[in-house]
Amino acid sequence: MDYHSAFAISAAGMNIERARYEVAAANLANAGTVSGHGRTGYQTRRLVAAASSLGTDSSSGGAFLNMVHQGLAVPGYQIENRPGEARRVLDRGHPWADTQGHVYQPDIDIAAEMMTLATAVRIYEANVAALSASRTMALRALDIGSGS
Amino acid sequence: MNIEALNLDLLRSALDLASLRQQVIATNIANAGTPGYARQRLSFSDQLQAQWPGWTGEPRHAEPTHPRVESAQVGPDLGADGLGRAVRLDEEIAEMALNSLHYQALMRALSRHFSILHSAATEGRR
Repeated sequence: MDYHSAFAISAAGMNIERARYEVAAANLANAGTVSGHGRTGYQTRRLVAAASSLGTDSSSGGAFLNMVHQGLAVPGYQIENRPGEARRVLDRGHPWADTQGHVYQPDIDIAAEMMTLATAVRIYEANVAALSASRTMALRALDIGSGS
Repeated sequence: MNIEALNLDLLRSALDLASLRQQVIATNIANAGTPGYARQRLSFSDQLQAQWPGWTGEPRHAEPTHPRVESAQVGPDLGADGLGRAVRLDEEIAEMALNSLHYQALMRALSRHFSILHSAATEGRR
Protein backbone atom coordinates (compact mmCIF):
# COMPACT_ATOMS: atom_id res chain seq x y z
CA MET A 1 0.00 0.00 0.00
CA ASP A 2 1.45 3.31 -1.07
CA TYR A 3 0.27 5.37 1.84
CA HIS A 4 2.18 8.47 0.74
CA SER A 5 -0.22 9.15 -2.10
CA ALA A 6 -3.27 7.99 -0.15
CA PHE A 7 -2.43 10.53 2.57
CA ALA A 8 -1.67 13.20 -0.03
CA ILE A 9 -5.10 12.81 -1.63
CA SER A 10 -6.92 13.28 1.69
CA ALA A 11 -4.63 16.14 2.68
CA ALA A 12 -5.46 17.94 -0.56
CA GLY A 13 -9.16 17.40 0.09
CA MET A 14 -8.83 18.79 3.62
CA ASN A 15 -6.84 21.74 2.32
CA ILE A 16 -9.48 22.81 -0.19
CA GLU A 17 -12.31 22.53 2.35
CA ARG A 18 -10.34 24.55 4.91
CA ALA A 19 -9.79 27.24 2.27
CA ARG A 20 -13.50 27.18 1.47
CA TYR A 21 -14.27 27.63 5.16
CA GLU A 22 -11.85 30.54 5.47
CA VAL A 23 -13.33 32.33 2.47
CA ALA A 24 -16.87 31.97 3.83
CA ALA A 25 -15.73 33.10 7.28
CA ALA A 26 -14.01 36.16 5.78
CA ASN A 27 -17.21 37.02 3.89
CA LEU A 28 -19.27 36.72 7.07
CA ALA A 29 -16.78 38.76 9.07
CA ASN A 30 -17.01 41.57 6.55
CA ALA A 31 -20.77 41.42 6.08
CA GLY A 32 -21.40 44.46 8.24
CA THR A 33 -18.64 46.71 6.92
CA VAL A 34 -19.57 49.85 5.05
CA SER A 35 -17.87 52.01 2.48
CA GLY A 36 -18.60 55.48 1.29
CA HIS A 37 -19.16 56.97 -2.13
CA GLY A 38 -16.13 55.35 -3.74
CA ARG A 39 -17.53 51.86 -3.01
CA THR A 40 -14.02 50.70 -2.30
CA GLY A 41 -15.19 48.41 0.45
CA TYR A 42 -14.85 44.67 0.90
CA GLN A 43 -15.10 42.54 -2.22
CA THR A 44 -17.13 39.38 -1.69
CA ARG A 45 -14.96 36.37 -2.48
CA ARG A 46 -15.68 32.84 -3.50
CA LEU A 47 -13.68 29.68 -3.91
CA VAL A 48 -13.86 27.99 -7.28
CA ALA A 49 -12.75 24.35 -7.31
CA ALA A 50 -11.34 23.14 -10.60
CA ALA A 51 -12.24 19.59 -11.55
CA SER A 52 -9.24 17.30 -11.37
CA SER A 53 -7.86 16.05 -14.62
CA LEU A 54 -9.30 12.57 -14.22
CA GLY A 55 -10.66 11.84 -17.66
CA THR A 56 -14.18 10.90 -18.55
CA ASP A 57 -12.89 7.65 -20.00
CA SER A 58 -11.97 4.55 -18.06
CA SER A 59 -8.32 3.90 -17.48
CA SER A 60 -6.52 0.91 -16.07
CA GLY A 61 -5.80 0.68 -12.35
CA GLY A 62 -2.09 1.26 -13.01
CA ALA A 63 -2.77 4.40 -15.04
CA PHE A 64 -5.00 5.72 -12.25
CA LEU A 65 -2.23 5.17 -9.68
CA ASN A 66 0.19 7.03 -11.96
CA MET A 67 -2.14 10.02 -12.04
CA VAL A 68 -2.45 9.88 -8.25
CA HIS A 69 1.34 9.88 -7.95
CA GLN A 70 1.59 12.95 -10.18
CA GLY A 71 -1.00 14.74 -8.05
CA LEU A 72 -3.48 14.88 -10.90
CA ALA A 73 -6.32 13.20 -9.03
CA VAL A 74 -6.88 16.00 -6.54
CA PRO A 75 -8.84 19.18 -7.18
CA GLY A 76 -7.19 22.55 -7.60
CA TYR A 77 -8.84 25.77 -6.55
CA GLN A 78 -8.66 29.51 -6.85
CA ILE A 79 -10.21 32.32 -4.86
CA GLU A 80 -11.81 35.02 -6.94
CA ASN A 81 -13.94 38.10 -6.38
CA ARG A 82 -17.60 37.46 -6.83
CA PRO A 83 -19.20 40.05 -9.09
CA GLY A 84 -22.15 41.84 -7.54
CA GLU A 85 -23.28 45.34 -6.77
CA ALA A 86 -22.73 46.69 -3.28
CA ARG A 87 -25.95 47.15 -1.35
CA ARG A 88 -27.02 50.78 -0.86
CA VAL A 89 -28.12 51.60 2.66
CA LEU A 90 -29.62 54.90 3.76
CA ASP A 91 -27.73 56.28 6.75
CA ARG A 92 -27.66 60.06 6.72
CA GLY A 93 -25.72 60.42 9.93
CA HIS A 94 -22.82 58.25 8.79
CA PRO A 95 -19.58 60.20 8.28
CA TRP A 96 -18.97 58.43 4.94
CA ALA A 97 -22.47 58.96 3.58
CA ASP A 98 -22.65 60.47 0.07
CA THR A 99 -24.71 63.50 -0.83
CA GLN A 100 -27.97 61.51 -0.79
CA GLY A 101 -27.04 60.03 2.57
CA HIS A 102 -26.21 56.53 1.34
CA VAL A 103 -23.44 54.19 2.41
CA TYR A 104 -22.57 50.88 0.73
CA GLN A 105 -22.33 47.41 2.18
CA PRO A 106 -20.93 44.32 0.47
CA ASP A 107 -23.64 42.10 -0.99
CA ILE A 108 -23.26 39.01 1.18
CA ASP A 109 -25.88 36.31 1.43
CA ILE A 110 -25.59 35.22 5.07
CA ALA A 111 -27.67 32.05 4.60
CA ALA A 112 -25.61 30.93 1.61
CA GLU A 113 -22.36 31.54 3.48
CA MET A 114 -23.62 29.51 6.45
CA MET A 115 -24.53 26.67 4.07
CA THR A 116 -21.02 26.80 2.64
CA LEU A 117 -19.57 26.61 6.15
CA ALA A 118 -21.67 23.58 7.07
CA THR A 119 -20.93 21.72 3.83
CA ALA A 120 -17.21 22.43 4.07
CA VAL A 121 -17.06 21.06 7.61
CA ARG A 122 -18.82 17.84 6.60
CA ILE A 123 -16.59 17.22 3.59
CA TYR A 124 -13.55 18.02 5.73
CA GLU A 125 -14.69 15.38 8.23
CA ALA A 126 -15.16 12.84 5.45
CA ASN A 127 -11.58 13.50 4.33
CA VAL A 128 -10.37 12.97 7.90
CA ALA A 129 -12.25 9.64 7.94
CA ALA A 130 -10.58 8.63 4.67
CA LEU A 131 -7.17 9.58 6.05
CA SER A 132 -7.82 7.61 9.19
CA ALA A 133 -8.88 4.53 7.19
CA SER A 134 -5.71 4.76 5.07
CA ARG A 135 -3.70 5.03 8.26
CA THR A 136 -5.36 1.95 9.77
CA MET A 137 -4.66 -0.03 6.61
CA ALA A 138 -1.02 1.05 6.57
CA LEU A 139 -0.62 0.09 10.23
CA ARG A 140 -2.21 -3.31 9.60
CA ALA A 141 0.34 -3.89 6.86
CA LEU A 142 3.03 -3.58 9.53
CA ASP A 143 1.44 -6.53 11.35
CA ILE A 144 2.18 -9.01 8.53
CA GLY A 145 3.85 -12.04 9.97
CA SER A 146 3.68 -10.91 13.57
CA GLY A 147 2.44 -14.01 15.32
CA SER A 148 -0.94 -15.77 15.65
CA MET B 1 1.62 -29.59 -1.29
CA ASN B 2 2.24 -26.25 -2.88
CA ILE B 3 0.40 -23.92 -0.54
CA GLU B 4 2.91 -21.17 -1.17
CA ALA B 5 2.33 -20.22 -4.79
CA LEU B 6 -1.42 -19.88 -4.88
CA ASN B 7 -2.11 -18.27 -1.52
CA LEU B 8 0.62 -15.66 -1.53
CA ASP B 9 -0.04 -14.55 -5.08
CA LEU B 10 -3.78 -14.35 -4.57
CA LEU B 11 -3.47 -12.45 -1.31
CA ARG B 12 -0.96 -10.02 -2.76
CA SER B 13 -3.20 -9.22 -5.73
CA ALA B 14 -6.23 -8.82 -3.50
CA LEU B 15 -4.34 -6.51 -1.12
CA ASP B 16 -3.10 -4.41 -4.04
CA LEU B 17 -6.66 -4.06 -5.26
CA ALA B 18 -8.02 -3.12 -1.83
CA SER B 19 -5.31 -0.48 -1.59
CA LEU B 20 -6.21 0.83 -5.06
CA ARG B 21 -9.88 0.97 -4.10
CA GLN B 22 -9.01 2.95 -0.97
CA GLN B 23 -7.20 5.51 -3.14
CA VAL B 24 -10.15 5.74 -5.54
CA ILE B 25 -12.52 6.37 -2.61
CA ALA B 26 -10.15 8.94 -1.08
CA THR B 27 -10.02 10.70 -4.46
CA ASN B 28 -13.81 10.80 -4.62
CA ILE B 29 -14.04 12.28 -1.14
CA ALA B 30 -11.32 14.85 -1.87
CA ASN B 31 -13.27 15.96 -4.95
CA ALA B 32 -16.64 15.96 -3.18
CA GLY B 33 -16.88 19.76 -3.29
CA THR B 34 -15.81 20.13 -6.91
CA PRO B 35 -18.62 21.00 -9.31
CA GLY B 36 -18.69 18.82 -12.41
CA TYR B 37 -16.63 16.01 -10.92
CA ALA B 38 -17.82 12.55 -11.91
CA ARG B 39 -17.47 9.94 -9.22
CA GLN B 40 -14.72 7.45 -10.12
CA ARG B 41 -15.43 3.79 -9.79
CA LEU B 42 -13.21 0.73 -9.67
CA SER B 43 -14.81 -1.92 -11.84
CA PHE B 44 -13.19 -5.15 -11.05
CA SER B 45 -15.75 -7.88 -10.46
CA ASP B 46 -16.73 -7.84 -14.14
CA GLN B 47 -13.09 -8.44 -14.96
CA LEU B 48 -12.88 -11.23 -12.45
CA GLN B 49 -15.84 -13.08 -13.92
CA ALA B 50 -14.57 -12.59 -17.41
CA GLN B 51 -11.20 -13.99 -16.50
CA TRP B 52 -11.97 -16.83 -14.16
CA PRO B 53 -14.33 -19.27 -15.93
CA GLY B 54 -11.42 -21.27 -17.28
CA TRP B 55 -9.86 -21.77 -13.90
CA THR B 56 -9.70 -25.42 -12.90
CA GLY B 57 -8.35 -24.90 -9.41
CA GLU B 58 -4.82 -25.89 -10.34
CA PRO B 59 -2.29 -23.33 -9.17
CA ARG B 60 -0.55 -23.64 -12.51
CA HIS B 61 -3.66 -22.49 -14.34
CA ALA B 62 -4.44 -19.78 -11.86
CA GLU B 63 -1.20 -17.99 -12.55
CA PRO B 64 -2.05 -15.97 -15.70
CA THR B 65 -5.68 -15.32 -14.71
CA HIS B 66 -5.10 -13.63 -11.38
CA PRO B 67 -7.08 -10.47 -10.72
CA ARG B 68 -4.47 -7.75 -10.83
CA VAL B 69 -4.29 -4.00 -10.51
CA GLU B 70 -3.33 -3.79 -14.18
CA SER B 71 -6.56 -5.49 -15.19
CA ALA B 72 -8.78 -3.34 -12.97
CA GLN B 73 -10.54 -0.41 -14.60
CA VAL B 74 -10.95 3.00 -13.00
CA GLY B 75 -13.51 5.19 -14.70
CA PRO B 76 -16.43 7.52 -14.16
CA ASP B 77 -19.49 5.96 -12.58
CA LEU B 78 -22.20 6.54 -15.15
CA GLY B 79 -25.81 6.70 -14.05
CA ALA B 80 -28.83 5.42 -15.98
CA ASP B 81 -28.88 8.63 -18.03
CA GLY B 82 -25.29 8.09 -19.17
CA LEU B 83 -23.99 11.08 -17.19
CA GLY B 84 -21.36 10.88 -14.47
CA ARG B 85 -22.82 10.57 -10.99
CA ALA B 86 -22.01 13.12 -8.32
CA VAL B 87 -20.18 12.09 -5.15
CA ARG B 88 -22.39 11.14 -2.21
CA LEU B 89 -20.46 11.24 1.03
CA ASP B 90 -22.49 8.60 2.90
CA GLU B 91 -22.05 6.15 0.04
CA GLU B 92 -18.29 6.74 -0.08
CA ILE B 93 -17.85 6.37 3.68
CA ALA B 94 -19.83 3.12 3.70
CA GLU B 95 -17.75 1.74 0.84
CA MET B 96 -14.58 2.83 2.60
CA ALA B 97 -15.56 1.05 5.83
CA LEU B 98 -16.28 -2.11 3.86
CA ASN B 99 -13.01 -1.90 1.97
CA SER B 100 -11.00 -1.26 5.12
CA LEU B 101 -12.55 -4.30 6.78
CA HIS B 102 -11.84 -6.37 3.67
CA TYR B 103 -8.21 -5.25 3.72
CA GLN B 104 -7.85 -6.23 7.37
CA ALA B 105 -9.43 -9.63 6.71
CA LEU B 106 -6.91 -10.21 3.92
CA MET B 107 -4.11 -9.17 6.27
CA ARG B 108 -5.29 -11.69 8.82
CA ALA B 109 -5.43 -14.39 6.15
CA LEU B 110 -1.85 -13.53 5.20
CA SER B 111 -0.75 -13.78 8.82
CA ARG B 112 -2.45 -17.16 9.16
CA HIS B 113 -0.72 -18.31 6.01
CA PHE B 114 2.66 -17.43 7.47
CA SER B 115 1.82 -19.08 10.76
CA ILE B 116 0.99 -22.31 8.89
CA LEU B 117 4.37 -22.11 7.19
CA HIS B 118 5.98 -21.43 10.55
CA SER B 119 4.25 -24.47 11.96
CA ALA B 120 5.56 -26.57 9.08
CA ALA B 121 9.09 -25.21 9.41
CA THR B 122 9.23 -26.02 13.14
CA GLU B 123 7.60 -29.43 12.66
CA GLY B 124 4.57 -28.42 14.68
CA ARG B 125 6.56 -27.30 17.71
CA ARG B 126 5.97 -23.87 19.14
